[in-house]
Amino acid sequence: MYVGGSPRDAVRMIRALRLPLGMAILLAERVRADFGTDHATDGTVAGAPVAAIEGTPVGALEGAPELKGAPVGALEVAPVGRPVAVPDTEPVAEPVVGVATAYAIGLADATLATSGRIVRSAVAVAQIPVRAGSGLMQTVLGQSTFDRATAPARRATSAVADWSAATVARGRAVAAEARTEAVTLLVLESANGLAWVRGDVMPTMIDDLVADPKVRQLAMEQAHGAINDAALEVRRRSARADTSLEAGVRRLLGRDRRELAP
Amino acid sequence: MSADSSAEIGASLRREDYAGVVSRLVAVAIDVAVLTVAAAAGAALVLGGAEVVLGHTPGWLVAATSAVLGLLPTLYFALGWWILGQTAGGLVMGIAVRRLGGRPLRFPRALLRAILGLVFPVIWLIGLTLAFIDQRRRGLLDVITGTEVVYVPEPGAQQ
Repeated sequence: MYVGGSPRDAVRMIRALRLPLGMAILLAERVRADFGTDHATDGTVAGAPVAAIEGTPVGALEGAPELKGAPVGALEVAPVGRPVAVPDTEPVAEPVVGVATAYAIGLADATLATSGRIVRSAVAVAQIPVRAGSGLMQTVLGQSTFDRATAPARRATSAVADWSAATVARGRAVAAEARTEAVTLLVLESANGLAWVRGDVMPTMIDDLVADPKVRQLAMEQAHGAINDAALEVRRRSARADTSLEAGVRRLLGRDRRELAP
Repeated sequence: MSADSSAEIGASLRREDYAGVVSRLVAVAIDVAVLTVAAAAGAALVLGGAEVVLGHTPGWLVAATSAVLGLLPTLYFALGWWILGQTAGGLVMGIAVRRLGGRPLRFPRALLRAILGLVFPVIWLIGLTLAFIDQRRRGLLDVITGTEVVYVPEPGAQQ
C-alpha cells in the first residue's frame, strides 16, 4: 500500500504549475490527434476530447453573462481546484497521460508534498516517546531469526513498489486536474474574448466601415456591378429567345430562311 | 451623315443585330411598370399633398393631374426615343430605336411613333408579328414610321 501519504494529500502541486501543465497536456493531445499518433479510432484522445474546447463550450457560455469579466477569477472559485482523491488500489479511470509522464508528474508532486510533510514529521519525530522504542524491541524479540533478518528488506521492497504505484496514480490525478483547469481557463477566456469583441470591437468597426467613403463607394460599385450583370443576363436570354421563337415560327410557316433573304 | 453612309451602316448589320419580338415585348412590359409606378407616385404626391396643405383637393388640380397623367405615356416614349433612342425598358434590355440607316430619331417621328403605338396598341401588337419574317425584324409600326430597333452593343464588345 501507498505509504507516502494519504490520498487527500495526493494533489499538492501548486496552482501556478498546474495551469502550464494542463496547457501542455492539451497541446500534446492536439498534436497526437492531428498527427494520428493517438490510438483512439475517432480522432479524439480517449477520455479527454480536445473538441471540448472547440465545440460546445463557447456556444454554451454565450448565454452565461455571469462569466463576463471574470475569467481568471472564476477559476479561484471553480470546483476544479478541489483535491482529487486517489484510489488506493486502482489508477484513474481515464488516464490522460502515459505511465512515464504520470510517474514524472507524480514524482514532482510528491516532492512538493514531501517537502511540507518532512517539516511536520520532524516535529512529530521529536515528540515520539520512548515507548515507541520499547514496542519495537518487543516486536523484534517475538519473531523468528530469519524473519527478523529479512523483514527490513521485505518492508523496503514493498514500500518501493507501493510508492511507485502511488506516484503514478498521483501523477495521473494531477494531470487530470491540471487539464480540467486548463480547459476551464480556455473556455472562460474564449467566452470573455468573444464577448469583448462583440460588445466593444465589432460595433466600432462597423461604425467605421459604414462611415468610410471608400467602403460606401465599394458597396455602390458592387451593387452597380450586380445589377449590370443581371441586366446582361436578361438581354442574352431574351436575344436567344428571339432567335428560338423566330425559328419556331418559320418552321411552323414552312418557310426557309433563304427565302427571306433579300 | 449622308443617306449613303446610313445605308452602309444598315447594310453592315446582321439579322441577329436587330431586336426581336421577345426583347421588345419585355422592354414594353418594363416601360408599363415604370409608367404605372411613376403615375401612381405622382398622383399620390400631387393630390395627397394638396389634401394635406389645402385641406381639400381642388377640381382644377384633379383635371390638370389627369391631363398630365394622360399625356405622360406619350411624352415618356417620345422623349425617350428622341433624346436617347431608348426608354427605361430599352435601357434594361439593351435595345434602341433609330431611323432606317442608323440615324437617331427626330422629335416629330418619335412623337408619331409613340402616338400610333399608344392609340392602336392591338394593331401594334399584331403588326409586331411582321418581325418574324422581316429581314430587319421590323414590325408594322416600324415600317410605317421608318424606324428599326437594334441591340445596343455590350460594353467592350466588338462590332
